[in-house]
Parts: sequence; C-alpha cells; structure tokens
Amino acid sequence: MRYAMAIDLGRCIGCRTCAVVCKDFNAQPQGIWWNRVFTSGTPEYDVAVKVNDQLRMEFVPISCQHCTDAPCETACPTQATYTDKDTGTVLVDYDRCIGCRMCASACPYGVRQYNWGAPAKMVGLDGSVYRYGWPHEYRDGDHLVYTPERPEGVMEKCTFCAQLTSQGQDPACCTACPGNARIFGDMDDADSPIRRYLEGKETYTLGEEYRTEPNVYYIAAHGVSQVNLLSTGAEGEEANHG
Amino acid sequence: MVKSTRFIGYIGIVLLVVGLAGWAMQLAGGLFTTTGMTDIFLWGLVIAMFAFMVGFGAGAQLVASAIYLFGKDELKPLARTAAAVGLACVAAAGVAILADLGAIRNILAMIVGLNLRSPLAWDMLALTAFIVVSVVQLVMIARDARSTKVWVILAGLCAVVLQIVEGLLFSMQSAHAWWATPIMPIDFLVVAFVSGSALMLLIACVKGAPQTAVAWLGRLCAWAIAVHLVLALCDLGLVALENSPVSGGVLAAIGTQLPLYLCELLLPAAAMVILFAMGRSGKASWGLWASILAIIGIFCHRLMLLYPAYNAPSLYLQLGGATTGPYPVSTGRYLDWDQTFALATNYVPAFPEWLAALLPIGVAIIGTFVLLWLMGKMAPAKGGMAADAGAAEGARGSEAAES
Repeated sequence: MRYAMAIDLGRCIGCRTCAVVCKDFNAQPQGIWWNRVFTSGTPEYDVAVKVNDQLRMEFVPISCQHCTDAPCETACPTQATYTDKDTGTVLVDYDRCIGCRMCASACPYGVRQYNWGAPAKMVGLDGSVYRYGWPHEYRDGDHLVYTPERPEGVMEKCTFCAQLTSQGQDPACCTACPGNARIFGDMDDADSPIRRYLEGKETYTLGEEYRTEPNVYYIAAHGVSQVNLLSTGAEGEEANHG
Repeated sequence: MVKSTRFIGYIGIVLLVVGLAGWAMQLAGGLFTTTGMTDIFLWGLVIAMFAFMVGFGAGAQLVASAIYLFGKDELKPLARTAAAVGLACVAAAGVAILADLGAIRNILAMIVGLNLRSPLAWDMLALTAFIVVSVVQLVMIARDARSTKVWVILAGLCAVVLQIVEGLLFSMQSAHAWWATPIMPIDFLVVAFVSGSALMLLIACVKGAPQTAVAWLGRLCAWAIAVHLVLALCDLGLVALENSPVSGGVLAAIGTQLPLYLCELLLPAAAMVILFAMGRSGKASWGLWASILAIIGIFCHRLMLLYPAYNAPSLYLQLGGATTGPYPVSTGRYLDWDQTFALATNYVPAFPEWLAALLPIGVAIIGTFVLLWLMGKMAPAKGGMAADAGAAEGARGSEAAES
C-alpha cells in the first residue's frame, strides 16, 4: 500500500480551508502550519503574476510531500522520522526526536515545523484559551506520531492525518476542501479514488530537481481562457491610473 | 608566563560559567524565547560555534600530527600542546551540538536508534572515534611511549575524517545550494588547517615559542589560507555561474550580509599577506596579529555558512512552463513578529545565544588546562626521554592548571 494525494489546482479556489482545517484538526500550536496555500510566483497571498504575457493567479497548497526517498528520513540521526512500511507515509515519533532540526534543514519543501519552546496555546483577543483538535494521542505501533499536547523541542509535520487514515477515512484537508481539489488514496490499488482520478491526467511533482519522489501529485490548472488584458493595453492604462 | 596562563584560565572559567548560564536560560525558557532562530533559519550562532570549534580541534591535531610525521623534533613541545588543544576543542564542539538540541531528554535515541544513513550519526561516530584515539595519543605523548608517533598520526587521520564528515553534514543537504557542493568537505578540511595553525600560532606567539616554530606555523597557516580562499572563491563562482533562481537567491542572501562576507575573505587574506611577508623571520608580533585576523575571518566564515543557506529559498514553482517565484515558508513566529510566512528571516542571535556560544570556548580552555595537567602527572620519572622539552611543556601546563 502506498498512500498518496492528488491536488487538482484547477479546482483549488485558494480559500485556505485545507490549511485551517489541518491546523485545527491536528491541534497545531501557535505559529505552526503543516499546510499552507500561496499564489504561485509571489510571496504574498492572492496576487496575480505575469506569465507569458498573461496575468495568472494559481493557488498552490503545499504540505509534506511524503517522499519515497525522503531526505528528512535520511538526515534524522535517531530514526525519529521514518516511513511507515504499511502505508508509505513519512511520520515523526515525538518520543525519539532530539530536536536537532537536521530533517527540516534537509527538506526542500519547508514543510517541517519545529516546537521552538513549550508549544503555546491559541489565545483569543480577550486572553481566553480554547482547546481544539483531535483529543487523543495516536501511536503507530510504539511510535508516538500525534498528541494534542506537543512535547517541547520536537519537529512535527503532516501525517496524512494518521489518526483518521488508520481508520479508513480520508485526511481532514481532503474531506473539508469545498472544491474537492484534494483526492487521497492508495497508489498501489488501481481501483482507489486517487488512481481513478489521475487516470488520463497529466501530473507533476514539486521540486523534481531534488529527486525525492514525492507522493503528492499536482494537476496543473486549466489553460487561460479569458481575454488577455495585458495585450489590450489595459496594463498601460492601469499604470497611468496608478 | 605563569601569570598570563593563570589569567587565561580565569577567563576560561568565566566563559564556562557564563556559557552554562546561557544554556540553562535556553533549557528553561525554550529556544523560542531565547533565540532568534525560525523555521526558515534553523541553525544559529551555537551551530556556527560548533563548526568553528571543531575546525580548531581537528586543525590543532593536524598540526601535532604534521610535526611528528615530518620529524620536526624541535617542535615537539608545541605538538604536545596542540594535541591537548585538539581534543579539548573537539570536545567543546560536541558540547555545542548538545547545547543546540531542543529535546536533549531523548538523547539516548542517538545510541539505541542510531540511523547510520544520517550524516549527523556519522558525525557522532567520527567525533567519538577522534576523542578515543586522541585520549590514547595524549597518554602516549605524556608517557613518551615508543608508539607515540603511530598514535599521533592515527589521531591526525581521525581529524581528517572528522572534518570531511563535518563537510558532508552540510554538503549532503541538497535543499541548500550554498552547501550542496563537492567543495564543502574539502574546504572544511582546509579550514581546519587554517584554524589549527592560526590558533597554535597565537599560542606560540603568546608563549614566546622559538622563532623557528612561529615561522613554521606561519608558513603552514599562510598556505592553508591561500588554498581556502581559492576554494571559497570557487564556491562563489559555482553559485554565480549556475544562473538559476535558487543560485540567484543565494547571491542575494550573500548581498544582504556583504560586510560579513567581505570580512570572511579579506581578514584571512590580510593574515596570509602578513604571514608570507613574515617569512622565516618568525616575528612574534606579526604572527600574533595575523593569527587574530585569521581567527576572526574564520568566525565570519562560519557565520556565513548559515545566512546564504537558510535565507535563499529552495522551492520555486512553475506556471505555464515558466518559473514564477519562490514559495514562502511558515516562520513559526506569528505572535513574535506578526509574520506567519516569509521567504527569509533576518537572523540576529538573541542574548542567551551569545552567552551559550561562549560555553564551547570555556570548555576548550579549561579542557586544555586539565589535559595538560593530567599529561604532566602521567609523565615518566626524569632522567630518561621524558626530560626533553616536551615534558617541560607538560610541567608548565601542569603548573598553570594548578595555579
């Protein structure tokens, strides 16, 4: 079995629901984001960029790519980061992590998140603290891969919601996506939802130059169909108005 | 001489205590409140200090091994000190790594669950091997045993392996273009020669070593700097010629730290010129200034190991067949800086980091004193070979440590 996720960028509306649900469901402490969504080509959110003389705005959600040849797993000196042999999911055992940050340093996707201190609670403007997230710890065998109360000084990242997928359910981001842009499943099973969805579609993976063999597959957004505003002189007018 | 040695010993104790206080602050407050690191800038001053100290350790050992290998009997007292400094500095580097860990409570996993594919595991093994062989070597030197030369050379080989492994620790991380070059492990080795010879030159000048020793160390240091500068410029050239978005990010990150980068290049270059000009004259004042310039330059070099690596984004997206731009990373510092996502973070070490960074220096100074004192205690009875200058050096170390 090899768990994988497909992200159809043509269906992504950039609402960031996946990022928020991921944070909420997995009780991610203050400042920690396993999943993030940005517009391709800008460090800002929701900004168009000029590509081939066209204005384009494509939202790209990125979380752990669950690489088959995961550099984080190679880098980890204590085997705290490991690949679950049954599912191919890359997980972190909080009880084995020494907090050296080798894994995050080795990851080209910037998806690993570190508990720099005792994880801070989410606090409202009135100072009230609220609890959220899956309330029970989850162990993969002996490995502690999820706990709502994070230990200090350990690394964390997307687990494909191991506490859900171990029960045959989809990760929270897939269930919550209003555009059904995320499809989860077993790549080794020809009849799985992900295999059926990907059939005949052209996919790509991120950071191919790093040769990590990701298990998150992206389907490029549809072609540009609207009028090219840049070629009608709108750009010049816009500049003049600016 | 005893007074100045005692003074350095006092400085060592102060640095050790202050460094321990800094580490204690980090343990008590967590790295979040006591450092300036982020999920983008993952290693800071203490890791720079680790790379700095391990260079002195391996380098001092290489100086000791070279003295024995080339049969320079007149320099053997220096080799004795160099071997002790080497072990103390490598141990200090190990302490620096421990001080940087976020969850040291799980450290046993480094033994029971060691991942032999991890460069950090190789590092621990190389560090341990060096320490073990170095301890045997020091005992052999102290007892003036017949097999001393073999052990000193073996310790030198361990130092070579250690520095190459340190280089691999960085160069195997393909996510950082600044590190992922074949030059990195070679340059780590060369920097060890620079650091070790500069430190021993400093010690030789302060202790009033013979001019021949100062001149020999000066030549070694000057040539090592020359090779290092060539490698450093090759590294820069490789990045510049790559002409990719990633390499552009590295160059931009270097640009933001230009004064530091210039110090990294120009200070050792100035030291090299002084040392070549000094030649065989072995003027202590020239050697002293050159070694100080070289050491500061190498410290800048170690800081610049981090900035262009962490502040150059590694992930660029494609859209319509074109590379659009880098992708932001969560900083982990939302409430701190009101900045959730960013491409780079301006790392400035926090006060406790500066304190903790002094710990390895304190360990190295006190460690050297203790080792020389122990070697003095182990020296064979006078009248034999032990009556040579080496034993005298040990006795001085012993005297200094006792005082």
